[in-house]
Amino acid sequence: MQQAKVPPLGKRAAENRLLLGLLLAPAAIFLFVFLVVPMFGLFRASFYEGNQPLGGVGFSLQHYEKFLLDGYYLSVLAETIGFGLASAFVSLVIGFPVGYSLARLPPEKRRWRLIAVILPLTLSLVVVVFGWLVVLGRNGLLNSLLIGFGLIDRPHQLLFNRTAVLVVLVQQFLPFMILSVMSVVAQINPVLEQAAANLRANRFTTFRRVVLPLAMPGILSGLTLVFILTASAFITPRLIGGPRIQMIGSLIYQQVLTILNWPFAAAMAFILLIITLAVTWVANATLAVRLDSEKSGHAN
Amino acid sequence: MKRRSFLKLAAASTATFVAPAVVRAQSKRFDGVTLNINGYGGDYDRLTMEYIAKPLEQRSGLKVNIQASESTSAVAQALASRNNPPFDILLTDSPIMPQLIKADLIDPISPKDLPSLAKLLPNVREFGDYGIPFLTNAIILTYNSKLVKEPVTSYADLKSPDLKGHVGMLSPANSGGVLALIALAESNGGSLDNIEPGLKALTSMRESIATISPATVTIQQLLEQEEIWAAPFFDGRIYASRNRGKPLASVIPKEGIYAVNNYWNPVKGSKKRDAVFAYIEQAVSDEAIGHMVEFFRYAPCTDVKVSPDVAKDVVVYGDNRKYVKPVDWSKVAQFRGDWIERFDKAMR
Repeated sequence: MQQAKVPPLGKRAAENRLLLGLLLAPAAIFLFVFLVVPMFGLFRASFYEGNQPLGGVGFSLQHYEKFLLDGYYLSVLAETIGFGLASAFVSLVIGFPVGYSLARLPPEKRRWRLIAVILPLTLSLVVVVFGWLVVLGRNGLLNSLLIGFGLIDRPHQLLFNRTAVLVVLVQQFLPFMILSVMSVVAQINPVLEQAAANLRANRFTTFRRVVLPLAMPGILSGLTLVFILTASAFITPRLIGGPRIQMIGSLIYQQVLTILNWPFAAAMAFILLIITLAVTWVANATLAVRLDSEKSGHAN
Repeated sequence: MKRRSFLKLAAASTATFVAPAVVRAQSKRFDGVTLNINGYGGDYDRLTMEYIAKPLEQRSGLKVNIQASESTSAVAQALASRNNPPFDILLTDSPIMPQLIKADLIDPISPKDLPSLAKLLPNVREFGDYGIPFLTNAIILTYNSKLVKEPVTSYADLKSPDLKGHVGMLSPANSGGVLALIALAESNGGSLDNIEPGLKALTSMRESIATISPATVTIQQLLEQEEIWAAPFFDGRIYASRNRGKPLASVIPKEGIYAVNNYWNPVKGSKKRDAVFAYIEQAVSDEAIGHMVEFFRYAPCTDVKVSPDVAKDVVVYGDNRKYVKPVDWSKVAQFRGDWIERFDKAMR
């Protein structure tokens, strides 16, 4: 009986690679045309001379110098990074328990809770922020509740400060942290926690030495995502923050749409991009170091 | 009657009934044509649809698609797609006009092109044959008469201890904010060439300022929520809130009245020139302008007559127009970017 001819391994691998390339090609072309090419255009625009929106020529570092040598812009950048870190940390503290509990629920109990987590993401950001203006207003829900419970005797100003901006930012981006944590924790076998309990580890020790290290990829993803989203926010600081709370997203928006100084806006956008890429790199590097040390620990 | 004869008679009868409708439909001048314009949103767009777009569609079949956005955003879109403009008509106001003209984004229209322009008031066109003005918005002061004990009469009163943390300001990214800054500068010895006295005056009232917003509707919402109690604001918006029962007083400030015109601008490169002219003709009609004045109490830029009941609420109606302080918009366009940056630094 004749056996079917099997192509050699090398040829099969080449065919697989070709097939993979063909499957990825449409997305890659789309990303190249609509992301990479415009990014290059934006990068080039950041070096144009002058402040005109179109027809820029020449090469100049004036816009980067204007940003990096002015204490005002650096303070706005620092505030933006500060908000990013604070929002990421608060989202982690609130989001991790929620993500963990969702991951441990059976699917039928998880469904509606998951919808409740995702639902805010379906609303327009502007609508959400205007809603917060009403909730946090002097005659808003929160002041009314505080007066009703006798905690305060007259309305307080809850808007136009850093706390209000942080609260609204966390509310907007908390679902991303919850979903990141949930997806990773769902892959941690509950048997590991039971085994730790069998070995007389209390819940905190189990969390610290079993759950947390295994959930670290999800935590780092969530932190990175929330940081990046917060750093690029501009609607929330504009409406909730008041005159003294300025973030770089608002300044970029202003330069593009009001002042029409597109080269300077492009320079600010790239500085923000470098910051966010740096944060992403640090997060990935931290994860890589951790994974390497775990592998070497297992090998020993 | 034989079947063939019956069928012929039925076909002829149907054609007789249908033909007038078909002929009527085909006779509408702008069937299948849609104009794209930007709008300010809210009541502006509602009134534009009601008194400009709908009558036009009924008469000529012309459809109007309004995209609500900040006018600067619409300008940025038009700049980015000059060869295929997203709008046929741009709605903007005075501070943005020099930029549009310099960028060669809009076409001029003279009374020779459109005789209805004879309805415009003398000297109301600030930019030659560019832009067709239709409403004038004045910046005055407002305060909540229920919460503020001492009436506000000038910008300087905004520093009052009673108003600490209760004043709202429009940023110079908004036309109203530009006017307020100019008012503060000129009343403190400054000018368009020297805005520093205005910035100093603003810095001196920092403790009073609760929030600064580039969006008119945000300030209006905060005034109505009583989150802020006083602000330099547009006369028509103050009237609209008062009409909704809010206790907001309108005050002509001691520093004087500053105002902007709103303009319809035909976009260069639009392939619907006749339709654009038809729109503008309806836009400056007594029907459209009269209803807008009645609702907003903004001053008309045409010779439309309004009832005394309406006229008494319009700040710069008729002869009162002479009290509007002149502004060199070319200088504003030249310096505005710098003003915005210095304003942001002063307020931080």
